Amino acid sequence: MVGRPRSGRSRAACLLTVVVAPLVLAGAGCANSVDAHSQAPVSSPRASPSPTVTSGPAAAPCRTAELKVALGPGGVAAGSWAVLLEFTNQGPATCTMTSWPEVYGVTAEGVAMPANNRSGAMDGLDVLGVPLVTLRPGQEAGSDLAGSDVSASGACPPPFTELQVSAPGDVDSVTIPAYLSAVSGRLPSCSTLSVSPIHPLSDFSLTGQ
Amino acid sequence: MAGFDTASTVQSQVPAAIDVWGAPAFWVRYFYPCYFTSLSSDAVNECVAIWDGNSGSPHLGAVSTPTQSRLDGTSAEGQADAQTFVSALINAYTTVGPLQLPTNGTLFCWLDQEASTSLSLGYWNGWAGYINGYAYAGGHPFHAALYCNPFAAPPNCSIIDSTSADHCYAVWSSEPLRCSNSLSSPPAWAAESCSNVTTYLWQFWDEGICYNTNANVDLDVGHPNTNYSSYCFYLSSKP
Repeated sequence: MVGRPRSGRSRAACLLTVVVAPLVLAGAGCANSVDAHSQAPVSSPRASPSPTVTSGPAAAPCRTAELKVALGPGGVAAGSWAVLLEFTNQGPATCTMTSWPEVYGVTAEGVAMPANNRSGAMDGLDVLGVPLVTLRPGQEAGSDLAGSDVSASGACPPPFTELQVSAPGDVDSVTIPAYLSAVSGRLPSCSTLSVSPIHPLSDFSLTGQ
Repeated sequence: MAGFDTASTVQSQVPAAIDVWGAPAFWVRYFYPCYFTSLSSDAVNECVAIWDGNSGSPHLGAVSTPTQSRLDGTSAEGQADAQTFVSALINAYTTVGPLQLPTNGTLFCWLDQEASTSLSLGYWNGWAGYINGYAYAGGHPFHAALYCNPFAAPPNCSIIDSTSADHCYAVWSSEPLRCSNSLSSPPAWAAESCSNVTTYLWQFWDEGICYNTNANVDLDVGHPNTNYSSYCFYLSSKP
């Protein structure tokens, strides 16, 4: 898993960049993108009705309050775990998502650990880059959230009980349970979390079991 | 004798991982049942990438990761998961022409037991019994082995010490981590153990903790008195 520290730029600056000039987002350092290749609008193909790729002005960025945020499928692999963080547009209008969501793992004691941004995904992200994903009402996008269940010191801190998630550029957040059936419990907090850019769910090549 | 394990495809990590770490002596890849992309999904291109990455040591180790809650289950569940694993191994072997079984007749077949997972004797015996007993290519090439975290709370990997446990031929330990070491400069052998089974492989560097490369691989080193690559598939030529 590859991670990078979060940019020091403000959320407001990131939001402005996304709305006004999504094509320069990668180079602007707003979300530490280094390998963006797909800046054209991309629609999520999984939800119905069938999405439309438009060439006109982008819709407004999705706000956290209008999104359903949930953990999707996840798994483990020799000391590592990953889970798909799914975003569903529950608002009345089409909206867009691009770059990285802001994610904190929160323990029962209230300790919050921010997730680092990374370019790829342990969850099998076939399409790299930082796309602009257009979500009609009911459509979904995702981000790969990953960590480790091995500790450098031998014992891991208490697991995360909750995740605090914000849509890119939004100051509001939503809190969801940090439960992953693949580890039969709470998400391990043995390492720093890392999160991928938001992509259409079809970009994640999950094989499942 | 150090190499990589990865949940990504080999072709997605070559050349990135090699640019960072150098050429590995082996790759350990996932086979069904597993959550992440199985080698079986594109076995030929994965093996081409292994060859291109280091044609001087084109070795492929095999691990499977059943749904972890099943590892606390029954013998029947263990056997079913082992059947899936063996089928995937044979599929890769027959799909990739130059892919060869180890010349010593011993392919370590790793079962992934994560730190928070309990392994039942019934599941282990169903799994290992099937792996060890499977007749193929004129012999019994598949040998049951266990990836585990010795620092995990008991019973961690101690179940394989049971006198009634089917034989476990090797342990792959995830502890301790040595984040200051690298592929070209692996640590002196200090792998932890939690059973009497010999630890053959040590995952000493974890990308999720040691962190911050452009590659999605963990680093592993074999026991100094053995040659882990000799317990892997190998490529006799480029596929």
